Amino acid sequence: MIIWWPWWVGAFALAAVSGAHFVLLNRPLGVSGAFTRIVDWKHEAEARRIELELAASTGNAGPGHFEVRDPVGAHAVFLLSVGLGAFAAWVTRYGTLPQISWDLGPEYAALIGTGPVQWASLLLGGIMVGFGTRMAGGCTSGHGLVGCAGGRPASLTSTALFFGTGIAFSFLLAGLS
Amino acid sequence: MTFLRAALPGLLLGFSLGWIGFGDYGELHRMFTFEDLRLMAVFGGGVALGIPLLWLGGERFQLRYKPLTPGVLWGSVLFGVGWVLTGACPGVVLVQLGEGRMIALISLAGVLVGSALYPHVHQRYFGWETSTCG
Repeated sequence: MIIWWPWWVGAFALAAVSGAHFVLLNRPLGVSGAFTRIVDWKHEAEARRIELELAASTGNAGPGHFEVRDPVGAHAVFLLSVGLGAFAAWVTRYGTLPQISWDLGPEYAALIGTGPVQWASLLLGGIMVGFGTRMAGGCTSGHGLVGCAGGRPASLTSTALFFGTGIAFSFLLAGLS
Repeated sequence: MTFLRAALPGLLLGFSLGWIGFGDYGELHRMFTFEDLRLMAVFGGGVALGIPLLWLGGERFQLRYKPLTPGVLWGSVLFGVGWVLTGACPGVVLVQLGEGRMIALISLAGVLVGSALYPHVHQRYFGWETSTCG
């Protein structure tokens, strides 16, 4: 039997994650940003090297101290931890280890397809997610959860558009299958 | 120490997304087609709770400036299509993997490729000011 959190537990949890992220990392939550930092690791490493030098030369203490960005590895750890957290969620939810599977369930198969159609959709879709979120400057966490709470116009617009597109495309797929 | 501070919000996020059900394509589809409003309520509730959270955090919880560029418009549409094709927003790719759905490795590869492609395309074809590092 599949059990999910009631909506209000999930809502509270996501807000708590946002708060925890701010407290622990001194910056807003943003998953697409983590991917960006990892993909740009060369630039990030160089920028961090320069920031460390500047921080050392200015004393890096007190008001106006120089901010040094987190190492790229921290962003990779963050993403891996998301996977680990989901693993833990599965174990606590079902009391078993997740099984290795090579599909996304019966709904995906019915709506989009299986085999090569599925692989092509996942690859193309993934590229669209990576490119699109970077182009938009955020995703469901950065623009959606945090940006909308902050009333940022770009985030409100982005969220309306990516949710709206997801809704429209999903109805289209449902209609076609 | 930095790695521990990065791991904890990640673990909490993955744990929450897993228990909420964003990793399940059926749940996602039911959200998008309004067959089940639970996920929408989770998201809306999370945003609503974020408002007092940001206020309480004050100086500590500052958002960055992000301009409303053409990229926001088109990028969001592109992302929306990709979200339905993969069943995943960037974080949920990791959730799918954590739940054993190894086929999400294809999605993951796509996300990395897409993100890597962007700055080159932006430099060549787009002109707007992003005010962020790409």
